[in-house]
Amino acid sequence: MNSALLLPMILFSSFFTGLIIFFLGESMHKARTFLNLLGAVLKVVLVVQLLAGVHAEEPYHSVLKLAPGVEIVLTADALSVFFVTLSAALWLLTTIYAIGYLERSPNRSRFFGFFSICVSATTGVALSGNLITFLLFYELLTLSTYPLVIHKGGDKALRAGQRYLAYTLIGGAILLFAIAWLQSLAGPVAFVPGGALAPFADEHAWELKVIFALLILGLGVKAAIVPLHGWLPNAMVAPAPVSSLLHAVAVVKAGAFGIVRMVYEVYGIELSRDLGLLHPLAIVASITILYGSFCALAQDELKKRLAYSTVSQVSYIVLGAAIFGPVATIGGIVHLFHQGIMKITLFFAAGNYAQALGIHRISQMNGVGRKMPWTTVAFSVGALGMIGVPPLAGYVSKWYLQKGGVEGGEPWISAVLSMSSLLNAAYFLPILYRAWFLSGSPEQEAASPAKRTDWWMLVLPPVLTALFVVYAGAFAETPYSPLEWAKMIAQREYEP
Amino acid sequence: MPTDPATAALWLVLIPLVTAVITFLLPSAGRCLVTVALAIALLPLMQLIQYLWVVDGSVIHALGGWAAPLGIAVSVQGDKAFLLALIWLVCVGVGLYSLRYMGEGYKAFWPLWMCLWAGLNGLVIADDLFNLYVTLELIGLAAVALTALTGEAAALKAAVRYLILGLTGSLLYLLGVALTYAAYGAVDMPTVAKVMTATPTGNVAIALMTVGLCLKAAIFPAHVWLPPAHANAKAPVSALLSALVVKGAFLILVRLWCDVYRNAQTSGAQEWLGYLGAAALLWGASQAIIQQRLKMLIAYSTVAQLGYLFLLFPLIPTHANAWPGVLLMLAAHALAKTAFFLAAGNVIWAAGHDRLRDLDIVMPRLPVTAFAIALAGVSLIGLPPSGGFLGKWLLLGVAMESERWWAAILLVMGGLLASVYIFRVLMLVFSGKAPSDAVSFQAPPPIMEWAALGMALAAIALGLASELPLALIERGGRP
Repeated sequence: MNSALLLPMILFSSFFTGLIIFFLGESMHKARTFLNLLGAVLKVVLVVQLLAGVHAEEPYHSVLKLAPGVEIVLTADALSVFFVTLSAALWLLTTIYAIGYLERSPNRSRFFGFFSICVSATTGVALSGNLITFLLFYELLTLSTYPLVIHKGGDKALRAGQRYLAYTLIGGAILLFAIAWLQSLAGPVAFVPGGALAPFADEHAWELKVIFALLILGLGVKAAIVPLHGWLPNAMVAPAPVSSLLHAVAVVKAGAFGIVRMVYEVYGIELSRDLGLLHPLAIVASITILYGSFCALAQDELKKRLAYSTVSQVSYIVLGAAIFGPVATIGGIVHLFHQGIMKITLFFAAGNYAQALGIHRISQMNGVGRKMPWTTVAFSVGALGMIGVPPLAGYVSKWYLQKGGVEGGEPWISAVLSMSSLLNAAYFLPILYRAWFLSGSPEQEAASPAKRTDWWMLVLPPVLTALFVVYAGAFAETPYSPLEWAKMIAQREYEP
Repeated sequence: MPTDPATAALWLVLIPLVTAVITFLLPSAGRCLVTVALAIALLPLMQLIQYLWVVDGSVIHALGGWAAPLGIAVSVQGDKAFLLALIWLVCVGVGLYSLRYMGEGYKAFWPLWMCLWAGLNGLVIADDLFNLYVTLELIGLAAVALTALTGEAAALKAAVRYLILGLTGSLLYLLGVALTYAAYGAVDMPTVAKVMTATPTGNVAIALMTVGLCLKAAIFPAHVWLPPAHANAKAPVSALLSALVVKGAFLILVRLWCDVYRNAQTSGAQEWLGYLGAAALLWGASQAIIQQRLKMLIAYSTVAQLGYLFLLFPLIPTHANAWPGVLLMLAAHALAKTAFFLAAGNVIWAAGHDRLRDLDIVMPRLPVTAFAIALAGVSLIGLPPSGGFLGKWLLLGVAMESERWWAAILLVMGGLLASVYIFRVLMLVFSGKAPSDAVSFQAPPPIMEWAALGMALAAIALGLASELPLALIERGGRP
């Protein structure tokens, strides 16, 4: 495959299918399903090819020049491929899930059209080679997720949508301002391992600090850093497949991924440390980790509890970026992947409970384990992984972060992480206890899941992701695990 | 067809003028003739662009065989060719739409529109102050007549207000031209530029012309005539007025301050135009946010978007990216606003009204129109990728380079304010209200929906395929 074409093809494999889907009639169910799956499978195939290429250190670079100093650049390095792989794989599963979930609901062409464009935008965020390209796809992500968030319609959804837009558009505007400022100081800024701003550090130190704060502000909205997280719990009005995607791969991840890019490939980890930017970032991330967990404790609505859990867990990634040293870097970056597969498992399961039994609250979950064993097993694996029980994926991330904190001279991180794990246990274990060991009221016990022939479309995705949570943890040291790939990224970041 | 590129520029004025006369005489053939005229105009336009592209210079032509100052000079550089192409493109969009939209009762539309087009092309290429006055009057009178086309009371009232303020504007401008001629004995711009100094006469002349043009360009606080006029006209007319007509006066202002008066710039006078731009941006957007009618919302959006053009006015002569940035903003707004007004026409066609409150049952049934509004909105807000974004990006760079932080913040804030009123409209699409048969709904013809979408796509494309237009703008010097 021509390497200049591969990246645009990965991008457009979902974009064009999305555009075609818009024009399909509501009743053309088969054509829509075929196109959805075609786009998703094609993307996975292309991404596998890219993985092999990047592992062999082949260069990928596609450029579209717009104006002097404005170029759309797509590149693929180890970090972007990591994120692209996550999004491509989970998109395929979410597509299957969404087809099953939205069966017989209205406006499906509109939904799947925006759904595909949303994934293209995420892919674009991952493959961006410079700041302006990143901004382009970051904003496209906002626009394409808005219709998904308010898909159900009605006043509640529209209000949540307004809030979502208010947060993300203001975040985007701040990001635009910061990027323009950076460009006026340093010219067009491309992402390079080790960072590109070191030559400007002496002359513009304080400007770079202010710009960094603005960048984090702009990205922090999507990454749901406290106190910029206000949109996320409200956005739970979205249908379950959207919540899964938003939390696992698309919106919050784009924010966290952006912060990782800024720290490692715009400023460079050494410059970030020298400017004194890492320590405040670590504190902000720690506050978010603890605050999110405390809020999660107080929620009875299952999806809201999961939402606050996301607020907390995504900041693990930020925390990893905020500690100097390769071990912490590995911990943060690998959590980008681990959090994705664990959280999507949980959201798939939550969607299944709502779909089959109409369960939205944790207090209604007594005894669901016996009625929906597969879904509940998957949910349990995801929850235990989040707590950090060995040998699941979450354990690996936390272990590396903890070790990295000690090595990076921030030993208090250990306390934050232990506290967070305790809180995670405190809000997840009661759910598992209810699901497996308690029995519900007589009428709850009498209700049984509706029988559907396509039920496998809803059960298979969480089971697969749960299996992968086990794999990523238990076989972390094998050659094709996320951990090994994260190690490769860290190595390339520290030895550019 | 012409072989000489300078004649090509003149053909672009002659073709619409001749068409105007014929359509006036043969009103029933208006549709057909205008289509032919738009097609024919493509020839001189392409020839002009090709010439500038290959030779990389400006085309100067003296009418009547005499050189300036006796003859009438016209000149075409890259930026003017860009504007001529933009005017043509907007006219094509409006034309496609009007084929179905303009019923038999509106025969006067075709000749008036052709006069407007001729005036705009003339304004772009003319090189002397008096000719500019002539084109301004031609545009102004045609625009007023077009506004009054519906004959409804609200439209007539708006048209009269427009007429009075427009005439005041052109009279002030004419007074300035007369003073200039009295003091310097010339009206062609290159000659005046050489001799004009910051004498009291020169200052008064420039001040009169500037005030007159500000009235016509509807820059805050002279915008009062614009919203009712643009909102009460027929949809294609609103599109032409917002996309092109108000820009005409702005273009003359740029030429006055950047070409003619450049040698005699008194410090700080043109700074005020920047401040007016800032005020327009804030006032227009905040008014758009509270409007109850779709077309009023769009009209106030124009007031705000004009602010972008003026915001960095003082920097146009000195910063390399300022003029291309302003031109991109201007073009992106022209295309996006055409799309928006045409889309609003579709909504009114479908629903019979444009009260935002009651549109939540209509908008979900117009997906193509809704898409047009969404894409136009992306450009108006300035989100990437769109012409509006690229223009804003260039201006943002200029503002930061010159450390005008207030302007940089306003550029970003303007986008946020725009997003508030754009999403007020887009939200209606997702209301989730089931279409009810109790409400009358008349599906607009597909060509009208696609014309709106086409214009919106052009605004987006301007942000992606911008290398060519930007290179064209650079040909043959800048103001």
